[in-house]
Amino acid sequence: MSQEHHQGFFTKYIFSTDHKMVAKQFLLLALSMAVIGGFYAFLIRWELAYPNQPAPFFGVVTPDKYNAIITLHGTIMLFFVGMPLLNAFPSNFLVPLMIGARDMAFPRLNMASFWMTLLAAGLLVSSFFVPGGPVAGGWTGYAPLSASSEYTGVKMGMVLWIISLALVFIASSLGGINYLVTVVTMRAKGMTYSRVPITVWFLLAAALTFFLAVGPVLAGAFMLLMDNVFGTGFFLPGKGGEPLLWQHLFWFFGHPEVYVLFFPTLGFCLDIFAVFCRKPIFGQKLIIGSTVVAIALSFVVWAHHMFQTGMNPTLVTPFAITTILISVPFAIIYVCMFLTIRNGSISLEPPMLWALGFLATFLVGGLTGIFLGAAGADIYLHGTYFVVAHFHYTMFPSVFFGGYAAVNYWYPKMFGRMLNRTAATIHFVLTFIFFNCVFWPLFIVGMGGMVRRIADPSFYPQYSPFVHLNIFATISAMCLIATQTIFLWNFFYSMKNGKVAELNPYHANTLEWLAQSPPPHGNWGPKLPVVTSGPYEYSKPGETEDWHTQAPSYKGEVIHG
Amino acid sequence: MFDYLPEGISSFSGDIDSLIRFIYLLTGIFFVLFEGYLIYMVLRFRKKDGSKAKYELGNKWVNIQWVVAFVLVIVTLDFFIDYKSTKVWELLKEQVPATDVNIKVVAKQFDWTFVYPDKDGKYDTPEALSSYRELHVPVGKKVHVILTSQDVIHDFFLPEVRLKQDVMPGREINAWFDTNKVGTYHIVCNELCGFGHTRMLAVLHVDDEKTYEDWKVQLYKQMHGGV
Repeated sequence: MSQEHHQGFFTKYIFSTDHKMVAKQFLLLALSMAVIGGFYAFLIRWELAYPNQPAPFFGVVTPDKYNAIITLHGTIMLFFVGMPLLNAFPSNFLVPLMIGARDMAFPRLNMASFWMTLLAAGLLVSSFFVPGGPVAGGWTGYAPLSASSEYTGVKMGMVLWIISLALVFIASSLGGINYLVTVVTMRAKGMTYSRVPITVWFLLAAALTFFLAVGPVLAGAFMLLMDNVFGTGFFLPGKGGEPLLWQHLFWFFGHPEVYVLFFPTLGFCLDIFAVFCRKPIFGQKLIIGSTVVAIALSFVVWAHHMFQTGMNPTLVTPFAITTILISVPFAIIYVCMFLTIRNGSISLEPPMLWALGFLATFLVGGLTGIFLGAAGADIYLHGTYFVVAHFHYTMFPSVFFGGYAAVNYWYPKMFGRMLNRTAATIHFVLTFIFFNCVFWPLFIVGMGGMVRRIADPSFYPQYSPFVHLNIFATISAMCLIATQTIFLWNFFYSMKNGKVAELNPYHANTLEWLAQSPPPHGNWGPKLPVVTSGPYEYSKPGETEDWHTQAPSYKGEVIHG
Repeated sequence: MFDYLPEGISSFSGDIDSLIRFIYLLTGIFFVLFEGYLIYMVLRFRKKDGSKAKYELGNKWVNIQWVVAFVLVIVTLDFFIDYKSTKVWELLKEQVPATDVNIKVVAKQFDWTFVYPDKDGKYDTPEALSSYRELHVPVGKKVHVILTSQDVIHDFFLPEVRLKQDVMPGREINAWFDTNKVGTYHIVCNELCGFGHTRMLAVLHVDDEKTYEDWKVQLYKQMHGGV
């Protein structure tokens, strides 16, 4: 395309407004931050298995360092790996391509969103090098611990953490507005809402949920910053403040946030099931309706994180009921996913393996949530390793199984080459095994009463019976982290050396597969695609092919093998 | 799953355990059904030459009635779980019943202090007893604990009793428990409270009536120089 040739190196790769380049920047950011977050995970597991022994590449994980490491592990994995990998990267890459647009509605906003996120990541990482060390109050930043340096000795690190989070909240909102406006205003001719692919629906659901939830926590972050910097007392009881206020503001955001990291994966998996089972999505409207219900309910469950805080105990029962009710829309979506696979014609390509792996593992996370949503059982299990195992069984499948599913599936479109299939399959199998080996034992440890966030389990003689389980989990975690190098090798090696991909290697219907691989600046030839059918017309009776592209009349400029 | 569940020593620990085991049973059934069916589908519906996937949209009532039926089952079970859970919750957390012993629990970075009131029920007189990191309670008695924190949020977790309650600065939180077995048990802080959090432990001594009274006399003597 002619536009592409006029771009210099900086406008093309650094200050790019092209949605595909911004997407790749977010993907690289997520992968780089995942390396740091993964290293912290290793340090955490090391300390739990071999307390007070120097960890390789780091040294002894002292309690103050341990607190900083768990805080940064959580913050990085959620906001600098999960959100870029599941929201910013796929929304930027896929939304214009899937709806037949040439770019985002606001390309400069997009660029701003990336650079703000990068700045936020830089601030967070730099907090390791400031006097007083990095933030150490837990990723939930419970006040008063987080509200005054007199309790932790951390001053600058805390301020950097708050500013970093505030920046990433704003950046993600900017991105979210962009995706919403793009879908509403820039769909190709014939791309009615009912023909919009489900991945786009779920990316929008995530953007909307985030947008609705972020306001209160941004206000809370501002108050926390004031408490830290100017000695106000919004959350300090000694100055007339209220510590529980922070928790309400935080979890009002925090619970919807986990769905922000969950919805995109549902979308990827459904698209992948349709393609690799050669079937329409079962109950697409039911799924979208359930999602709307889930979004609404996600705003009235937040206090289930706070059952044991001493909040009004009578309020606990209504929150326990809403919490348990939110299982209903997700159960519907789950069953629809199963019924999409049923009677299909399944090929176990790597993206399909990741999507199936997501179904298998997330189920455990969903079911164990019932223990914690039941307030009576939560009295015992709250704050134990049972909770740690539970939320890793939800977040890891969402972020990594879903993220890998998306990267594996859309890699040919992003780079014009195929990933090495054998390496991708081995990567999946090992990740699946080691992931379960890390977190399954933690359910048992948590049921044994081991509490989370303690830096030195050797100080607790009552935990000595499950030392071997902790060591097993730690060795598995090291294997899990080592396994990811297979992916990194495959990702970078195949970019230059992989098999050249066909335009539409999976015979998928959605529009992105009509574009060149990788799509040029502006995505489409002189004429935009015109959509004439829905995205999931697979194996339709009476047709010779088992697929049917959404825009049969579209002829790209470049046709190749 | 329950290999290391600590033995329960309160009148309600059995209720909490049976609630957990009940949820374990229900979720276990769903786990086996779903994972089993997933494996079955992957084996059964693999791509074969000459066979085509079934074109099912699932947009008609006749298609989705089974989904709705399934969801009704889930809702019923959900409410049953909530019903059982609420009973335990109400018993333990909604209100403090008439108790035999009152103890004030004072948490601060990174210590526990247990204050026993004087004869008039006051905690701030010289007659009130202060025990550091050791909580003694008489077996079989209902104990009312008044939880306060002097700095950040802590959490009062008695694993064997199955009691957990956050300790908030700026307010007094009332909780209660009882015990039915003499012995020495654990108290841990279960809320991240700073760099010394990992060492914020205490010991729960469940004593028979005589040992308990002797210990109090002993403690009084220690505090008042043997007067």
